[in-house]
Amino acid sequence: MKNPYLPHVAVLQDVRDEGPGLKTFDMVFKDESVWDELKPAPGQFVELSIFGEGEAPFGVATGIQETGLLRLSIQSVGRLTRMLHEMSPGDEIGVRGPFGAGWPMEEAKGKHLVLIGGGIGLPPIRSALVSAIAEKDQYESISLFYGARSPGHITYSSEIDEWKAAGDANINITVDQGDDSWDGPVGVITKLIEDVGPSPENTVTMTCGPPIMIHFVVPTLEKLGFSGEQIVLSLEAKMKCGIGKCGRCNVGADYICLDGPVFTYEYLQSKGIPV
Amino acid sequence: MERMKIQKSRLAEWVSKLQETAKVYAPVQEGDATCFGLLPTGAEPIPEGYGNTDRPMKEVLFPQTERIVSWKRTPDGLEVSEVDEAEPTVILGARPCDVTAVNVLDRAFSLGGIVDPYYTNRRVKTTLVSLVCPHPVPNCFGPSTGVNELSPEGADVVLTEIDDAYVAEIKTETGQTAVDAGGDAFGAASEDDISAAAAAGETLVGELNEQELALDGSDVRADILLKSDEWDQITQRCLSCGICAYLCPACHCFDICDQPAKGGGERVRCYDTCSSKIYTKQAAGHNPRPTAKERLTQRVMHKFSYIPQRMDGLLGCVGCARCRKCPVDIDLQVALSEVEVEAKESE
Repeated sequence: MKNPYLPHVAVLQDVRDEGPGLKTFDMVFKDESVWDELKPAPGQFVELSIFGEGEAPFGVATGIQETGLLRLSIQSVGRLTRMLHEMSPGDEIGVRGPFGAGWPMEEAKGKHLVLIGGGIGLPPIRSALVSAIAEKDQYESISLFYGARSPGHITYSSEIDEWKAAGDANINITVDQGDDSWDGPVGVITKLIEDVGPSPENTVTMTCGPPIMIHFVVPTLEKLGFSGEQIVLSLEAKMKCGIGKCGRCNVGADYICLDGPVFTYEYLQSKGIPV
Repeated sequence: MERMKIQKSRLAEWVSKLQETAKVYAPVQEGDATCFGLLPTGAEPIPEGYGNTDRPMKEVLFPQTERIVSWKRTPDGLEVSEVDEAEPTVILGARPCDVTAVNVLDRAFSLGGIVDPYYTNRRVKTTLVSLVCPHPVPNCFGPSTGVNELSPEGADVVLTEIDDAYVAEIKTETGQTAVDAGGDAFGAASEDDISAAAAAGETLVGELNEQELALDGSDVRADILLKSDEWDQITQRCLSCGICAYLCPACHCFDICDQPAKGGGERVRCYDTCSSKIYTKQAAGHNPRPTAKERLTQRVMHKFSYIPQRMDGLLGCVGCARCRKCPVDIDLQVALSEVEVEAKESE
């Protein structure tokens, strides 16, 4: 019997600052042959272990073309993440997963893909974005709407410049608070979405961000004419097991870890689950 | 299957035969409470006047704390290994409510087709010998929750007390093996024995009906609870101590924690409870269930609505009434009927 609680040992390859309190961790599995089992689909998450400290779930940033590499971008907010931020290349951690239902990438093919990320919700959006870019002929267009706290908080900023330069995606970024270096939009992400006004025609949206952002993005998209089926959301909850057993992420009869984290708004509405 | 019979005086003999190949758990006293514990060799298996244990039988299949993973730091790096402590086990004397709750645990620990190896390894090696209650324990409302008090689903053998003997209903092959182990301690039950067992069952059912309480899971709705003043008053009393979850035979939520030691350590899982404030509190501070009102609403909804939706109508409650050990006297049966009355009055 495969043991879903048993972590695989991974070695940190690269650790880099992305902004205040935010770091990206690139890691490879010590036993490379486990990649086939652990290969995450865009939008899935893993349980990361620091042995002696515990585990926590993180949405994976890795795209489909990034074979063998697990990338997580993690904000230092709690005990485990603070310890993680102290770690360096060569250090060993544990990883189990991948868990949950990911982004509906296949269903999005042949359509305009609108990705909406807020704050630390960007890593799972990156997994969809780079996966789509890898197969960009198969999408009508790819757009990113991204809201960050400040210009200094913009995650993957050098990659974003590359995507822009290559014309891979339409990139729209807003910040809550600008500074002298910033000449882009300032304000909440819903305003940016309203101002750009993506058309619902043959479009799928995928959103990941803090609960309060999702709460406001949904009506904004509805106002633009998107149906519940076109609004795909990644929800978050405290999780321990990642496999629908430990109970904390239960919403209605669903478990965010097992049945999500990715749900359509239509499904959530039908189950009476508020966002 | 045919009915067998064993004299009470020969029960210990059967147990010692079972102990040759399995660990036998039965009702024992542990400190101030009764629970299912390892039966010492030669001990009387069913204590005089046994009603039900204070602590639920689930502890044998899903221990309060269990090791799941261990790790070692070696010169070559981390070594991680799984722990499997499952052993052949017989549980003797479990009441039909506790046995019925195992059906919920079976489903919960394989939800979504992902099998929990720790629970499942224990479960497949376990024989469940149920013992029909001679009389209802105080406050029992098992039949209202769908418990078959005379032949619970999930049992391998069901014993019914008749005077100085038990009539055994063998429900599964596993149960047959366990009874066979008893050798000539068991004999065929006569028609009189079978009638006596049926009469004991009828007496019990009659007494149970008198205690039956109204309970209709389909009426339980989160929106009604969350806007109810009555529910608000009741839940304000909750201390979030978790005793209701720890004592519930069907509750199965857990936490996972690391216990570091020199050069390595162990990862353990232990009971957790949805009534705890930190249960759903995220590292960044957001808590989807900030007060006892949301948390107890979750508890009620999970047991009477979400589990039935997910598990073909099974309830997450088997009416054992252990949750009435609540230190601030929150009685969900009474609470739900008060909320129902309030909701009807406001219509």
